[in-house]
Amino acid sequence: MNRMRVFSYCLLCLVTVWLAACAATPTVPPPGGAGKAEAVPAPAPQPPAREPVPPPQPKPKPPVVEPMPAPVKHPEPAPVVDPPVPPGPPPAAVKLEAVLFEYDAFTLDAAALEALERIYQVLAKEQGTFEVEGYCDERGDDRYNISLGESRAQAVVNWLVARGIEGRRLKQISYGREFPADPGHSPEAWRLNRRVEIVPAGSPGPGVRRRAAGN
Amino acid sequence: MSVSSCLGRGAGAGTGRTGAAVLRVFLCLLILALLAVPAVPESTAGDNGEEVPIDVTAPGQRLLRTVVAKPLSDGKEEPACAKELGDLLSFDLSFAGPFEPAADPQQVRRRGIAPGLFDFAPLEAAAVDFLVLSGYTVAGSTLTVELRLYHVPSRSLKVAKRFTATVKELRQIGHLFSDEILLAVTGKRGPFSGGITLVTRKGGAKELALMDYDGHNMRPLTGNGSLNLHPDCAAGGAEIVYTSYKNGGPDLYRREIYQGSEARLTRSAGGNITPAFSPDGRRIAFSSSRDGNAEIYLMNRDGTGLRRLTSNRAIDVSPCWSPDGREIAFVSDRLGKPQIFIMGADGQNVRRLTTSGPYNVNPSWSPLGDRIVYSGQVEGTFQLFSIMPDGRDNVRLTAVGRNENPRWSPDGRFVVFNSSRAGGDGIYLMRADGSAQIRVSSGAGSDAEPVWAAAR
Repeated sequence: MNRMRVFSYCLLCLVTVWLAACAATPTVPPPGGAGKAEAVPAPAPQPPAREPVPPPQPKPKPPVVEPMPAPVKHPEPAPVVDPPVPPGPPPAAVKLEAVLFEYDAFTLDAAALEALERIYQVLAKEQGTFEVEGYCDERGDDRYNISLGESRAQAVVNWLVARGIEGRRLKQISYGREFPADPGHSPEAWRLNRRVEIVPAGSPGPGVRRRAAGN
Repeated sequence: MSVSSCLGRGAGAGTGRTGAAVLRVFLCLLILALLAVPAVPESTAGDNGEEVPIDVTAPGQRLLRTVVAKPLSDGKEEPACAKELGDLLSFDLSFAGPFEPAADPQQVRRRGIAPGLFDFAPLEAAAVDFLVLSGYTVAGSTLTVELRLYHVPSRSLKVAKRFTATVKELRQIGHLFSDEILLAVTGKRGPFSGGITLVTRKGGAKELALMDYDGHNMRPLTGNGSLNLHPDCAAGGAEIVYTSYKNGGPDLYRREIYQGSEARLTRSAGGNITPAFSPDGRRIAFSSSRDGNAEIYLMNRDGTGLRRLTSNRAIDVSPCWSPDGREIAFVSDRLGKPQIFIMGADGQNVRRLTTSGPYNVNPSWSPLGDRIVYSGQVEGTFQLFSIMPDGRDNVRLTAVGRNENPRWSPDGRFVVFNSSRAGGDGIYLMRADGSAQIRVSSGAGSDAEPVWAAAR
């Protein structure tokens, strides 16, 4: 109990010193208003409420001269118009099936391997380069999904190269959860959207292809 | 309640009461003062040479009753102007946290906004803590606004500012004054004059846009018809890095948001995504698949000095920096499902941060250092959480809809994010503790990935 009291007095002293320090800070802000941070000062000791005293009649004062920040001219940001992308070679007339994946996975299951074997048979007879596009369903995180789609595309490229397709003919890219093959929000739509699409290099982009497909 | 206003009450209460009551008040003061200290890391104490005396975001404090008076005209009345300015100040201060709006008890028009031209008595009778007065003059397209903040109990003028600009810049002026009010009352400037960059859907494209923090004045930043994603801003700066598909695969670009100057930072096969400026703006952490699968890399702000930080067969993505630049939080599925990890900025000492929930992504480290916000999957959708960097005190902040991409305001007071709670994705704000959630974007449900940038 005694120790508690000593501790309390110590606290009291500390706080009193601190209060005194606070009270010593000027109550009138420095020129410029808020140039410096300071605690809001304690109110000056006020007499207890009395009969209303008429407020002091101010003499007409000269206009307050305060340092004011000069107005800054702000140019409006102009949208950057990028030069149009040069058209690629005409796309070859080859259409390949999609390779599908399980949720949050880029491993090739039995169905994917069967699809890849059929894709290999077509690619082996074709010339030219192909884009290997990775996609995800809409449920995951945007950013993680771009990496996941990249891993899916990479898994497909690795398998095809191991099977015998030249690596330089395949270029992977991921669009994450953009450009769904099926715009729905059902488990079936998600199943179709977790995919890798392989298209001839120079084909219209996925946005254009999706619009052409009506979604 | 701020410490100093508690002071005012304490002094009054102490005179007529027992020593125990005085002691209680002092103890309360001391605890508040002690609580306030850890919330302000050493590194920010020297910000503009200001000391940061109190933490008004601490829970359980009394709100400061604040009157935002109807703006007065020095000449011709411009009711639309006056209303916009008054509404804006009220919105900023209500959202800020320490303030509670109070009705203006003054019935007759004040003679002016300078000291002596109005009466404090009605405000004191209504127990008002702060009074915001403003006056404006419109001459052609030139607007002059004068703003004052008074501390009512001490009858003292705390802030006086005059701004001259064009009429179109009225909102910018108002937000600047709100920032000054927060500085005067809390010791730390507000972020309201800053802008928010975001990603807005335009058909099959996603473009970057810029708006005021409260959703007004939205204007485009890019118009290339491609995918433009993952904007990130250097703390306190007006420069972003972002991912764009405009030249083929995803590459990184650095851009000044108000001037529009831009530099391309990567040109490599394999995607380069999710860039994050280091707190000093000199380095950029990002994720790239250039070496086979997604790993975290570092480079200088001009794209030179590439350095790889992670090396494993899992996906490593979405880096974000601690405010001291010593650590990087990131997302990895190295243990099966995506979770948030923290490593040193040299790639060493990796530790797992999130341990609850199956799928946790998209971390953002508070500029104050004390919290990391992220989105985690709950029942098939995403909710926002806040956790301490040592993994303690994991708190859920949202409940309805799909909530993603949380990012801090530059002062660490607020979090901006996108949510589908009202239909399509829109930009929302909340305080760091999850209170005061409010939608600010007005688009028809296609806005996401907000980042709070500095004022121009």
